[in-house]
Amino acid sequence: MDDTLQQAVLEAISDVLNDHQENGTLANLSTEQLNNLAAMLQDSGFFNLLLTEDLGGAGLNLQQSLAIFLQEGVYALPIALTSTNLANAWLHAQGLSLPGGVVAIESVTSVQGQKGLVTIGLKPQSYIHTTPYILLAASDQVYIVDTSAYQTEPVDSDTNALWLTLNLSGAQTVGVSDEAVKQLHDLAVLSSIATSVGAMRQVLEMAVQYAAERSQFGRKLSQFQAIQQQLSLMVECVCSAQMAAELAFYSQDAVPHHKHIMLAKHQISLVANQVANIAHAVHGAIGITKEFPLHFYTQIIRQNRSRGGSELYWAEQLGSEVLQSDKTLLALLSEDLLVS
Amino acid sequence: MLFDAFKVATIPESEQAFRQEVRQLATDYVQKLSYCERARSWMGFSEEFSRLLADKNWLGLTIPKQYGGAERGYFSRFIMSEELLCAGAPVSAHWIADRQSGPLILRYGTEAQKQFYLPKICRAEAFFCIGMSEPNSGSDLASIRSRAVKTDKGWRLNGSKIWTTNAHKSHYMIALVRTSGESSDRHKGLSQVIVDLSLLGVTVRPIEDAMGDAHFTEVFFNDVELAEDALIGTEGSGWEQVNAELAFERSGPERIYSSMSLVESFVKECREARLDDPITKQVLGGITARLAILRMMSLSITAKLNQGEHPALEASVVKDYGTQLEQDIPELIANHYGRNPEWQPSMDFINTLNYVGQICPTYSLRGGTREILRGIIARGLGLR
Repeated sequence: MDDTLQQAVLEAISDVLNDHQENGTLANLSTEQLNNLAAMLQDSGFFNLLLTEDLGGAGLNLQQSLAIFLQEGVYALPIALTSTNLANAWLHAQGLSLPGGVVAIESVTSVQGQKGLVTIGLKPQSYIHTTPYILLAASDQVYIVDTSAYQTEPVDSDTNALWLTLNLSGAQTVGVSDEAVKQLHDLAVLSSIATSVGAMRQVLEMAVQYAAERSQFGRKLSQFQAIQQQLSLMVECVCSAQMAAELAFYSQDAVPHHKHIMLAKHQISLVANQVANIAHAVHGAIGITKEFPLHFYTQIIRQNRSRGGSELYWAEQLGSEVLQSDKTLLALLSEDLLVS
Repeated sequence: MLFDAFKVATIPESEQAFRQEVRQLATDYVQKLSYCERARSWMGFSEEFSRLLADKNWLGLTIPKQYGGAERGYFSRFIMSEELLCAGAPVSAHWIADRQSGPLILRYGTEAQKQFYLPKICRAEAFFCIGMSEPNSGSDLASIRSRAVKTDKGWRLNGSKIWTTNAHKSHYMIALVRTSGESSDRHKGLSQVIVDLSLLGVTVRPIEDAMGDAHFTEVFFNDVELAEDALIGTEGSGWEQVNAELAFERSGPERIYSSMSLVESFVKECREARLDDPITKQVLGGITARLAILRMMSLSITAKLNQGEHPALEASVVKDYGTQLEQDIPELIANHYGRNPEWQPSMDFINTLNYVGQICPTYSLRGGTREILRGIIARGLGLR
């Protein structure tokens, strides 16, 4: 692996993201600022990291790109960095292209009713304002959707989010192989994996730092055993999520292994609430205020828990495989489910 | 940061034939055992089985050939451990010698000690136990009081150990004892000695556990005369050595597979009863997925060991996280059994569930309790 190149890209993108932060976060940037940032990321080549160098890309594979894609969660970046890169690689492999800009990937199992409406659900306003295209894997079809198909409604539960529905009546379907459709479903899950684990790493850093700074009863929070034990458990959860992400991105090209995605997404969804809850417990009331950025990250973690399949969804899929096999569980793990 | 240690590691293709050989031997041997007996696995004691492994030169897999080992590396060891534990093979006779005492002697022993003990370990002729806890020193290991005093001929040992696994069936104990200072001196003045358990003055009393098995013991030392070369490593460095030894203990795949016989029994029962409802799938798939990620974490540590690193902190993470799954497994399966009154699984499955449910609290006690391990992780985070 070309670690030097990976490291150079990681440092470059971190510099760009650091420069654009306001009050320690990117989540509060205006639409104009975000669109400028998206344009800068595109112009600097950060949307084509998985394309080969002769196509203007960085020539990274999935395994190499994980450390960079995690930054979307680490910075709570409201621009779909990971899915844009995955989408551009997928489009290129299908002989397709888009004019440029951010491309989100969404995966749904069906299109509702005769009107061709697809509910995407809660999305940050910034997502809607910075995403000119959505690649939609809907059951066995792929659609390229632009903003003319976006239908949004305000929601009561979150002033930063909108309810997004896509109207597919004028959308273009793309003729690709069944295999390519399956890959796109997997890529939607993969992008949520990177974002979620990046956010988990960030809330762990924040909780550890807060515990080391905040004092109560005349002692640092970090000196209380109850806090130490909670943070240790949080570390274990984040380590397991990081391992899961490494497994999901373990590929020498731009195509992930479906079974690794199943296993990884299960683990990341499984620990999501625990990680978010411990982060909030350590921070106390300040962590739930609008001003303090913790909630941006825990919201990413919680929303991605369900997006692309929760742990129950993937457990059921895996359970079917176990029941249909006649192998022992160790044989299944060591021969079929995991890279050997 | 700690989590960057967890990278995908793969077992070399050249080891696959070895896996099949180990699997065949283990599967053949456990045919005569019920699942409930298999669930003992690393508490199951069989000299016969340990000798079978020794005949294949599979004990001391990481020990150099000059001392009778196979010099194969940590991936072979990983394969052997997971194949034996998942099959439910009785590994307890050689387990401690193979996993901890052998590597400890190799690292700290004199040439003469290596020549004497290591070939015996590899031939399954020397079984070891570890003397750490004492009646008033459990997790607080630095407060031990057993004492070895220098004499003209060597050392005179007095004191006692408790919760020592297999002392009544072992040939030797590696004991952590005080060789200078007082218990208030804590870590200073502790040393490790190898005690021949057949010596005069050693009394071993088995302690029966709640399930009727006697695997742990109480050991009394009454003026036991040890030779000069009973000391292993450096006098006064016992604390550092014990921590290195515990790192060997904590880093293997065994800390994720303690409930595997129950899992395999459950899988078999579900398949035979043709249960295919969503909840059965969720329970089975959930256990499978959690095992898969823990196995990858364990493998990443194996890769580090193979490169000569000592990933003690990462090992603590995997052990504590692994024992949580080991303890969740009987709970998940018991819950599933109880929601399904029409399902009538075999008595062996129910026996296994009952046994694992009752014994699983030990999974997060042995080799460092959950609370101690989380303290180690907190220290690694710089919190203490």
